Amino acid sequence: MRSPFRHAVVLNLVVLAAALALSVAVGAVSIPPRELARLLWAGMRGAAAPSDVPAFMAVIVFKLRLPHTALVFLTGSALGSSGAAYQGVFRNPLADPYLLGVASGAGLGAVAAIALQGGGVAAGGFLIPAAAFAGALLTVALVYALARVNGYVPTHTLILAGVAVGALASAVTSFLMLQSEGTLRRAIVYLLGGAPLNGWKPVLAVLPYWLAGEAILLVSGHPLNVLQFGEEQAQQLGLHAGRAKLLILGAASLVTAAAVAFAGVIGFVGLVVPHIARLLWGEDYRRLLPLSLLGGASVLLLSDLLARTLLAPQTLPVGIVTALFGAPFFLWVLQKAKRGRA
Amino acid sequence: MLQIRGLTAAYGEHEVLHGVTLDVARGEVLALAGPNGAGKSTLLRVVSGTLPPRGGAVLWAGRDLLKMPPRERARLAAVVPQARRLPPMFTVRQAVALGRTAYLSWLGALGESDRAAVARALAQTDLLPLADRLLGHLSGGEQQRMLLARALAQETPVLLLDEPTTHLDLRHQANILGLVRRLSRERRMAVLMVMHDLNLASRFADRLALFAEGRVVSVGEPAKVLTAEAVRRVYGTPVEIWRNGDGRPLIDLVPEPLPSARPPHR
Repeated sequence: MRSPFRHAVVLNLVVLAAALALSVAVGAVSIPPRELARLLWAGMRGAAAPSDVPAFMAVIVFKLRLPHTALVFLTGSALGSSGAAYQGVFRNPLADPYLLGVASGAGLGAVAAIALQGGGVAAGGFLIPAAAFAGALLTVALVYALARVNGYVPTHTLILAGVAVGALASAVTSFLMLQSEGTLRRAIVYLLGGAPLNGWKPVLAVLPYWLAGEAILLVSGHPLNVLQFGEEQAQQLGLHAGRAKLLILGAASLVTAAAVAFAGVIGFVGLVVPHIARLLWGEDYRRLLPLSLLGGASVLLLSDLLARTLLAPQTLPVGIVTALFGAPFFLWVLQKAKRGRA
Repeated sequence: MLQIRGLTAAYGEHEVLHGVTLDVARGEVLALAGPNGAGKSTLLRVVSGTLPPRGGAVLWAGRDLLKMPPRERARLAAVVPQARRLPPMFTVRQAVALGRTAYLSWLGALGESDRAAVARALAQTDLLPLADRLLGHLSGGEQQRMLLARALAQETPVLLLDEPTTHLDLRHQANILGLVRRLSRERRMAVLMVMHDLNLASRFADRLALFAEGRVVSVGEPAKVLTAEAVRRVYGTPVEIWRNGDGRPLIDLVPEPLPSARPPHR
């Protein structure tokens, strides 16, 4: 029982390491592996870049690629793990931050913060994730209240409520953007799920939210397992079900907000990754959460790589790439479920 | 002794329990029987802390179960629900281990004594050979036994069962009820069990409480409670009661006479 989990973690770490390396190395300017390794080694020791490596490479790696890669890592891991958590709390394998409308709600929060502040993204760097978190929390509360039927959340009401609330949030977002064109041009770009801001600032702005949320999610596997038997039974087994749900939803919304605040609304990662992890390694949420975190990061890093290279030098919004892969996968899962093997 | 005292409960304005008082001793199985909608399952929901009562108390050793946080209550009373919509991808052992939740931290790491309790519960329900089977691959009877094992892993002095034999065939009915009866003696548990089948109730319970319209109509040994008159009154349908050699009642439905088989005269 234990060793398959260890294998799964090792496998995921290897894939993640490869995805991280590729993400830093590949781009408009390729950094050869040897130079990359020497630059990173020097960076880790805090030493100056080796003199025989061209200076522009050091700039590209440390000022552009590394922060970008770090942000994509945070975003992907957040989507994967929050997807697993939402699926667990709602006891529904089709819950994910995108379909639930939570991502759109977080996006609305972020855009509202920019719009109200007027000063633009740079000044509001640390405020944006907070506003996104508020938007995410409001959305999840609303969707949950709308979708709940007799204390349980059926797929159709969940998807309907999620789509409706998400559409509403998107509409308000569009309205805000049209109202104040100048400052929000950049917002449009990132809401399409691409071209995050450059530099380390967004990474640092998002990191506290990511850390706080993931710290809670990664230790919540056991209560999520108990909740799989329904709120009544969870309570009878001695879990304060209401409190546990609230805490886990709060943490999931925290990391969703962290993901959306600077990377925009990216669909399907939170749906597909936990689903595959569940098929491969079972339902135990103590394993599912860390595996979804690692897998989400790898999947988004590789999608981002494709987004940057497919039509180079043009960069596609990464949300388009994840939808291109995720939507057919989603349909395949539905098809399989119809044949009675879900 | 489990003491249910003057319990009233309501769904909205509609009161469904009107002051129910019952005692269940350690080592005793009390069956709750009565027509649909009499409030049996509601009583179980209140006693297990799922539905807040409007009044009354459920006492164990002088303390009110209904005023405790879920964690404390789950160490005193365990519930065997009906096997419906179980998550299919858990193994039997994982699911039974969740019975230890009331003793575990948020992380849920099992200690020595927890593992021992799980192993004992699996052994007593003959589930050891199925311990690594997925819940989705179990039969209805096996799922019901898993839920019983999970409740046993809670190691509580009180056990509450909600119609544990629904959807089970004869052999599995006998198996589950025999097990409950034996465990009530071995573990000295006070067992409260909602039952639909009066014959099964009178066979496997020490005492029987007949329930109607949110009240206990009569309670005592099944042989004394189950008279033709009482059953007809509570269920509103005529029955015949046969006595076994040992005086145990066997209830037989009396069908209404069919209209005459002859074709009507013209």
